[in-house]
Amino acid sequence: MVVTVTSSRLDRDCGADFLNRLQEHVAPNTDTCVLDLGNVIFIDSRGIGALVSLLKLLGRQRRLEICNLRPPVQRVMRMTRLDQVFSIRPSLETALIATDVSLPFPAVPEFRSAR
Amino acid sequence: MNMHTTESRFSILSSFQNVSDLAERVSTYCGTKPGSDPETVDSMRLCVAEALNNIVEHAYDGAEGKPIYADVNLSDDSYEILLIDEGKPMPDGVAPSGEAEFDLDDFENLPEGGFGWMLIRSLMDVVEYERHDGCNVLRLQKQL
Repeated sequence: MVVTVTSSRLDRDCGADFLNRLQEHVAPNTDTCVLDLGNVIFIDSRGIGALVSLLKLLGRQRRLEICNLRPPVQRVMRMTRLDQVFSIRPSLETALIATDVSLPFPAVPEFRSAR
Repeated sequence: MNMHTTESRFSILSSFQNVSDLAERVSTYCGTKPGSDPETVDSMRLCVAEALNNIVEHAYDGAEGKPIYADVNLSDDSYEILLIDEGKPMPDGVAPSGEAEFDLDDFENLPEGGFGWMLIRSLMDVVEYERHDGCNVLRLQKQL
């Protein structure tokens, strides 16, 4: 399952809601979750905590790929050392190739031929 | 050398929604300083948000409607922010060290929170806390 965070913020104000919705909709239904954070320009300790919670919720048996991190999010990941815990991909395409999840939208021709 | 300093005071009533707004206003104000770079402004926004969330959550025990002030001083060589509240003092009268010891390989025990002070301590050059006239005063300073 590919989840795109449409909010520009993943913080104290919305971290709990984000996690609740993921728990409700994503965790029971998927073996592999690709989380696209391309819209997120602000993440705080609560937002990071929600990502750790999601990772633990999916457990070792299932897979979480996080992709499309903007520089402010990359910096927070690095400072908390959680960049060593999460599987982080530069783009949605590379995350999808890594997980072999089919594209949620028409694939670009180069990508399709590469598969 | 002439030091040029501008000073501004912001205030909110405690709530997590207002924290986001104040962090935004303070960092936007920091960004008005000529030559400010986006990364430093991002750091200010994050640290102010983290510190304010702690004030709402711990100093005020989540209570809404309590006063919080932010005094921002922009000088030639630093951003300085004083955050002032009338809530409970910090435990033992000191700001947390932010040294979260966790084992990256210990999957089950990865921390799901407590990164706030780690971020503040690593991004700011000065972090000073004092209790003054029944108020908490937290000084955050970033050298430019």
